[in-house]
Amino acid sequence: MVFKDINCNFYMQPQPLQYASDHDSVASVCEKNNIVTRAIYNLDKAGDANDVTLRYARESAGTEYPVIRLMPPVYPEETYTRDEMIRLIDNDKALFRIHPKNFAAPMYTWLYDWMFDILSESRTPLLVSLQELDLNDAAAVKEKYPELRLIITNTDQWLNRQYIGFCKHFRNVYFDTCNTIEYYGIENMVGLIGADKFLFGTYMPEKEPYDKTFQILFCELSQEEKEMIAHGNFERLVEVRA
Amino acid sequence: MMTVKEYAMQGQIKPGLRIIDSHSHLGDGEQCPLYIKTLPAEESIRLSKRIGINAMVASSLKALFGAAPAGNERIMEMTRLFPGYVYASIFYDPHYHEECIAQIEKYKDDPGFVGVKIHPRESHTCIATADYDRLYEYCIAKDILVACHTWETEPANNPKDYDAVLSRYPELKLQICHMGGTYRGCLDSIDLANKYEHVYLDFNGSLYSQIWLEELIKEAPIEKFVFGSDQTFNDPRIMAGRVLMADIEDDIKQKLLADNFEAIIGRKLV
Repeated sequence: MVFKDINCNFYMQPQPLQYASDHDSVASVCEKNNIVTRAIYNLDKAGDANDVTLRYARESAGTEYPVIRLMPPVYPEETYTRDEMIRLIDNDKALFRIHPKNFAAPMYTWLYDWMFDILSESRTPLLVSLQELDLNDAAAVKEKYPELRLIITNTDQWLNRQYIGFCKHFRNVYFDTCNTIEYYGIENMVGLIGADKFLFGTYMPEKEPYDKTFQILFCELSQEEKEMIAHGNFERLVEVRA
Repeated sequence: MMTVKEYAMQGQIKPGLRIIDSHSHLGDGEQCPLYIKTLPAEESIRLSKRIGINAMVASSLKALFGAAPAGNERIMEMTRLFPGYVYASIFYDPHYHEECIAQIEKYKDDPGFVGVKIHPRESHTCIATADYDRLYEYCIAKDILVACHTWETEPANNPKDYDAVLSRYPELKLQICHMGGTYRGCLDSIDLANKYEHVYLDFNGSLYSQIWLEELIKEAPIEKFVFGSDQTFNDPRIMAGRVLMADIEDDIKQKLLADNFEAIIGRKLV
């Protein structure tokens, strides 16, 4: 089975006690584990982090999609204009990630303003970690932008009632599998909200990919459901944007 | 010959591989702050067997959540229902000292008994206190393994606090469950394993530490590491996958998955 990783990150420099952490070593681990395509995100906080991500993605011959750190349109030098954002989507098939906590940019409609319009209209996925997200803020955005494709990554077993409830309430909400560790969780949650809601995600290099691939290979879902999670949903949401 | 990883990538477990889950829980539908899917014990065991687990050392969820004596009887019952597969880690709660020690004494020679489990957070008893000393003294005298839940961010069971305990009881045979959970907790647990001869590292919680298994096992003697899944809180496929799919030689994987634990308890379980 092949995998396509919605949550594949890298650092510019190797990190202590991480077997793989820079772009090339993470790519090598992906290759050894049948992770053939990935949405890549630069965890470095340098000002040119997005430029580095774009460079790697453009050199990848279609195996990497850039995930762009999206700052709200407040300070021009750290964010994008409408035209720049549309070009990133059209030319690079970019995805975007916001950081409500780590970069102090909460998911408020009035803060991101027209950006949610562009993302909704272009069916471009917006990634956000549940570790940083206030679901009440996300709910307010989803009320106004029901078509916004929100991929909530890094879920938290201690919040499983809340985020599954959120997904039942709002459409176009998806999750990655990097933290789906609770007992019989993948089968149970797929039974509740469907296999079309989960995308294979590793959160490399902060986590290893091994448990995620094994989980899909050995889970008690149908082959069709496994393929959807492993790569099909990535193809639909990231590559085709159907 | 195909490796453990190559088998796993084809959805199979390598024949002959032995896996002992040294840290698990079994229960009867107890609820907790997060939602946990409960399967009947037979189904949990079927799932474990399907991913190659040959034996599980379990403590009782009922005991963990406040009913230690009743829960311990239930877990011993499960060892009799599933002989040679389910082994018991009798839960010790300092609030039920007499009852728990009596149960350990009663079952310590039972083939289903493997050791003692403590959970300072759930028992509201900090490891930095002397409240577990009576247990430690008993277990040292009887050569019984104590498995302790640890988490660096939980005040009741920060592994760092074990340094003072172990300086008093260096002969204590201690399994540090979760390795403290965080990056700092893992490093502190490793320090303890390197400092004290009978301290062992249940690397389950290092899942959350940003430390990859390939690097983790370089930080202490390989014999110090033991495999535990924390099922049925966590899915056993998470930790199994973490070992089976890692870039580690098969003979090392076998030590991590079963050999080390059997050496620690001094008996073969499978």
